[in-house]
Amino acid sequence: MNMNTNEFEAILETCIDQIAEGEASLEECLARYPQFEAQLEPILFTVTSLQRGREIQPPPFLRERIRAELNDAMKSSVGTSRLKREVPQILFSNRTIS
Amino acid sequence: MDLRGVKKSRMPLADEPHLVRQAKAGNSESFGQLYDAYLERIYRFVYFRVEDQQTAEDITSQVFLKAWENLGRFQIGGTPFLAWLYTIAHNAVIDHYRTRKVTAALEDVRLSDPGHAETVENGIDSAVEMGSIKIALQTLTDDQRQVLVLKFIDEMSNEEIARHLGKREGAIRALQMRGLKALAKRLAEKIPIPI
Repeated sequence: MNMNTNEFEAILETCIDQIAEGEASLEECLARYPQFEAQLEPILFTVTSLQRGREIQPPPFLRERIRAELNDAMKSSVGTSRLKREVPQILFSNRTIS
Repeated sequence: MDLRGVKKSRMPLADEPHLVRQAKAGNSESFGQLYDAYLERIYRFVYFRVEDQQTAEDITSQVFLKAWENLGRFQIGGTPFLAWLYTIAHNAVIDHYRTRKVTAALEDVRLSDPGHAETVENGIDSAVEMGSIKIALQTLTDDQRQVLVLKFIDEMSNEEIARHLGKREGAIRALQMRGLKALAKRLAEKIPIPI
């Protein structure tokens, strides 16, 4: 591993952390290190692509579906040993906390 | 895409220990609050590790049902509640693949994901890009995939991931770097998305 490779790896790691933390954009990182732009670009682009996964949301019906399944499970667990300590009087309601 | 200033959606619940204590005592309302707080994160965690949306939905449901059933075993003050949920989710995904004997080979991954059309409507303007990433993620090792999802999608720090996976931070950094390079390479190959 030569000096150049070490330098690139260090810069790459810095850029990844800065993008992950929202401290720098992909474009800013590339502009800051033009000598490594070609090597940095595909990896940093992958980082920003992964970050778009944060936009994935459970479908609206899923929240209610699981809530209903949990309510059923809670009802059927009334009387089991664990819940004898405190029988759930109020099963969690249909409100949505956003 | 400039993601600076993205609001961190992963702040822990301020009253989590209280909610967990109440839920362990059988208070379903408290468990409901924990469920509301963590549903999205568990769903995303599962979504990027299975082949289709239906499976992600079913496994997410299993996770919360198992959490409720096994809440009595959860130790307050030990593993954080969310980490415990991640463990249940991780095991559920493994069980899913073990049961179905699904291989992680790219050639075997078929993205029959009707949710993608919906996803586009919900704001992601490139379902193709997300589909490619999801497929490419399946080609990584389980550790690499887990680190990348926890780090870049779930916004965990390397320290948190290390604690969660029981590895050293240096190992997490190495997994992250190898995973990113492999993922970038696969994406550059322009993997076709089966419709």
